[in-house]
Amino acid sequence: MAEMKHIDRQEGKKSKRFITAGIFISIYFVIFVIFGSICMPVPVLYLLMPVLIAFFSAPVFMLMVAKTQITGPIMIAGILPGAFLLAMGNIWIVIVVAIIAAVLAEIFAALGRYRSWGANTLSYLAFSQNLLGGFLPIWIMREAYFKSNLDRGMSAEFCDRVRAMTPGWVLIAMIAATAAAALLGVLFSRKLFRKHFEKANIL
Amino acid sequence: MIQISNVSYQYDGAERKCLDDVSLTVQDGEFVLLCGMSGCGKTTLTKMVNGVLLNLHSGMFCGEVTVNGMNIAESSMSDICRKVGSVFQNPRTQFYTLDTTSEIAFGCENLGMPREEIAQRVSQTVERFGLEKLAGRDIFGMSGGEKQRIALASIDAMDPEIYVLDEPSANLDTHAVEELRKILKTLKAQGKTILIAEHRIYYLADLIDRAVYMKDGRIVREYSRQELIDMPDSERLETGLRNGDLRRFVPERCASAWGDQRIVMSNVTFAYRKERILDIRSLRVQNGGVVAIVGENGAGKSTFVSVLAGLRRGAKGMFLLNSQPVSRKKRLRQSFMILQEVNHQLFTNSVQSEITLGCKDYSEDDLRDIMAKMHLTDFAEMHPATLSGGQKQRVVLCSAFFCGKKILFFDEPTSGLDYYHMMKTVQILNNLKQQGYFIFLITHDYELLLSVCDRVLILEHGRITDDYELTAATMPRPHRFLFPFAAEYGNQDGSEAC
Amino acid sequence: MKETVHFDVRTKLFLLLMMNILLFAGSGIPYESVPVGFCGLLLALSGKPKTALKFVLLFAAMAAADILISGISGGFWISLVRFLVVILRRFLPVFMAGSLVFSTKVSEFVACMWKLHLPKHLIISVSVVFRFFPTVREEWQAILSSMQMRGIGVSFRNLVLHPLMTAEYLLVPLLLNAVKISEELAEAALCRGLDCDNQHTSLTAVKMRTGDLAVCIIPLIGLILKKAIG
Repeated sequence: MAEMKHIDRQEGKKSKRFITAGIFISIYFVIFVIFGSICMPVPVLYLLMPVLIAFFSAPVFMLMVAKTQITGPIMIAGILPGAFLLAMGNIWIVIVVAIIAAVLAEIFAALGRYRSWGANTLSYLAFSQNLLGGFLPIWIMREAYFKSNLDRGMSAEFCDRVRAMTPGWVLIAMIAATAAAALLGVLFSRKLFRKHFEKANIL
Repeated sequence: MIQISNVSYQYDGAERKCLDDVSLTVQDGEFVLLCGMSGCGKTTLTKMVNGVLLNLHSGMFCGEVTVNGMNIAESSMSDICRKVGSVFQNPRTQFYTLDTTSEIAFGCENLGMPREEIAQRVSQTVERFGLEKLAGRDIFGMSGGEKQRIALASIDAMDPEIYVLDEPSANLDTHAVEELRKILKTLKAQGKTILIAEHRIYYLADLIDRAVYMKDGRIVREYSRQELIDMPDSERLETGLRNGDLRRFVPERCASAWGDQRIVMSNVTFAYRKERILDIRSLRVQNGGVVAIVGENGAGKSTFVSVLAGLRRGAKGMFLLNSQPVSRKKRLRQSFMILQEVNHQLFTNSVQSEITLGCKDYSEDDLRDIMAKMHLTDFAEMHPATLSGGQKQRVVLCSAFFCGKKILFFDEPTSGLDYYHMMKTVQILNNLKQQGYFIFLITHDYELLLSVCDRVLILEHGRITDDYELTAATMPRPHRFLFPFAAEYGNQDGSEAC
Repeated sequence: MKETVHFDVRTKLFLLLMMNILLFAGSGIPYESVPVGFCGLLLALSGKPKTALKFVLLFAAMAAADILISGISGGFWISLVRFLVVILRRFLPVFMAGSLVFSTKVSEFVACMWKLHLPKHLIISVSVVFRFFPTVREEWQAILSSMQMRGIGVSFRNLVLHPLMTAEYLLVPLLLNAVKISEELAEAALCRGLDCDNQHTSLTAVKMRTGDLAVCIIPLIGLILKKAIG
């Protein structure tokens, strides 16, 4: 019998990785849409939206990176929601923040060659901030709004009241809470990996 | 021409070769069937020919595969797809776009054909396969059979010389299989070379030139068309091959064990978006027997079953269990459905914990007992996702017993199973009969129906249009319903071997 | 509703960009009504007259509310409501342009991506996201249904007492099945030349016509005029 040779062609596999990426990004998108529709109408929940999404998307992100192990999926995953929000009617800041978060996430993951839990965790921490752009207008637009003097009848007292209601520290708190949720999400993902994905031999 | 010479392949991490010194030549225009039990290597061989194995997996390989002179081991998927068209078994995962016309054009677009040519090919294919009614529609709303026809159409538009099909009829009902047969007949008439791996042989009987039987990754022998049809039952059980001519099938049946428990449905209706899709005037079912639910696509079989099982809210009418009215929640607690897509029903990371999921107190002995009966003892600690389809079904079934469920529903449990495994399912169902469960079975598997069902309910547009016990006298009736197009019923073009 | 004029995807995206820019170029109801009217016209021409009407009426309602409330003085909450109404009103043209973008068929969007010579693998991922999105819904509906049957369903009790377990029961089958589906989808798609290196063509025509040029130039002119006049 002739000798067996090892065959491991990469070209087709690369396309397969991007198809896999598309599927996981799709799931991430659904999580984004579900929490978006629950949280957007309700004032307090609205600010919690990125926090909740950060937790529940963690397993999806980590599994995607583990299965694809290539440059590209993280960027697409990070930027797509921003692009979607932009098309829905949002300020350009949304995309800028998404791009920054996605690029940072990509760099961190690449440092560990997409195989290290530590690097992937840092990556996800950066990644989970990608939705922040949608909230920045509350602070940035506000200033522009007052500055451009849209409403001549607006009292200074009102401006002060609004400013008092949404102080800068809320933004910082949001960023911190999102990061914390992301970290907890990664721990949850680790548990799922050990319990299921590694045992089921899908990696 | 397909030339396979001394091909062997072993996946990375696998213990044995999945293909072992296989040699086969398929001449231009031949229609060759690959058959054998599950895991024999027929699917793997098709994946060798269409390049999937060598391009998308990694492993050890030796031998040579050439298709019309092209060496598969050195060709990329984009080269191979120009000569080889592939159709797979799962209609749900084969389509890439969202509407039928885009789907048919998909392959041509990828190959970079000019727009006018694509438009011409698409309309020619639609005409050739009779798909006018399906053009321009949303794929998600279509039945499995319609999706498979679109899949074939999308390959036909690319016009390859060779077709490789992997169990294309696996998830289709009898009418859809007939449509599939017609398309294959058209392709054969065009002179295409066709290599098809299949369990269900009957619909191909008058199309195949020869059948190649595989076992453990090797080609064991070949059968001619007539030999397949004339195969005795004993050999059928041994080889796992389904009947070549269904009219000759004579089942061995167990007596029914009808008990004295009763489910009664009275004036049950269910509406979806203001349209009434279920209307059951009156139905009485006893436990201890298998009730087959048969009907065409969209007839309301899944609706009937999910309403009865308590999965759907908003159904009106009266449900009685042993003369006591039973609410939706109560029905849900008593019911269990074994789905066709069993992956939606597995939640834990070991067979053991899967079986006991949702159960509060149970004894270890009972657990061991039931796992032994279902041949799952060796798999107790394994993750359900690593099991085969049939094993997963048995795990889910075990957990139904364990939670004390009384009413069992099966949705196409033998779809894609070979003869041997189908008979194993028959054994399990016979066992369940003896234990006194209520059993409802949605199926279009003729051999299964005749082997194990005691009563047949035919559903059309949400109504029961026929209801009979399966006895010697009524035995011919299921065949007439499932295969109205068969030659003996006066249809000229109908399949001879139905 | 049949469309009278077909606008290219790129035109719609450019329009969206312009609406975003125009947002900052000026303010006041007379100024804002121009982009709203323009986008309304485009929506109507694209076969969505009802949507166009809804948006225009919404604008009118918000403008009227603004004028009415400006008469009423004082009160923090009144001013807050006015603040929000004004913000939404100013964003309306952006929402309208967005609605126009979303009315594009997926197949045309993908065809446009190929025409723009975007990287092959990017197009593959994005087209799969579109393709799989409705399937995710089917999948988790089936999983939720099975969970109900097994008594581990998404009930208030389960969400409060065992939120993580419930999340696990929902996510794990979804993700495991996603892996399996991606294998099958990849095989079927690659066997039909998804990753061919040649230029992918499309059945739907992707072409800029005069209407597209008009839609692109008009807002630009508007912007220049506004900047000039002030």
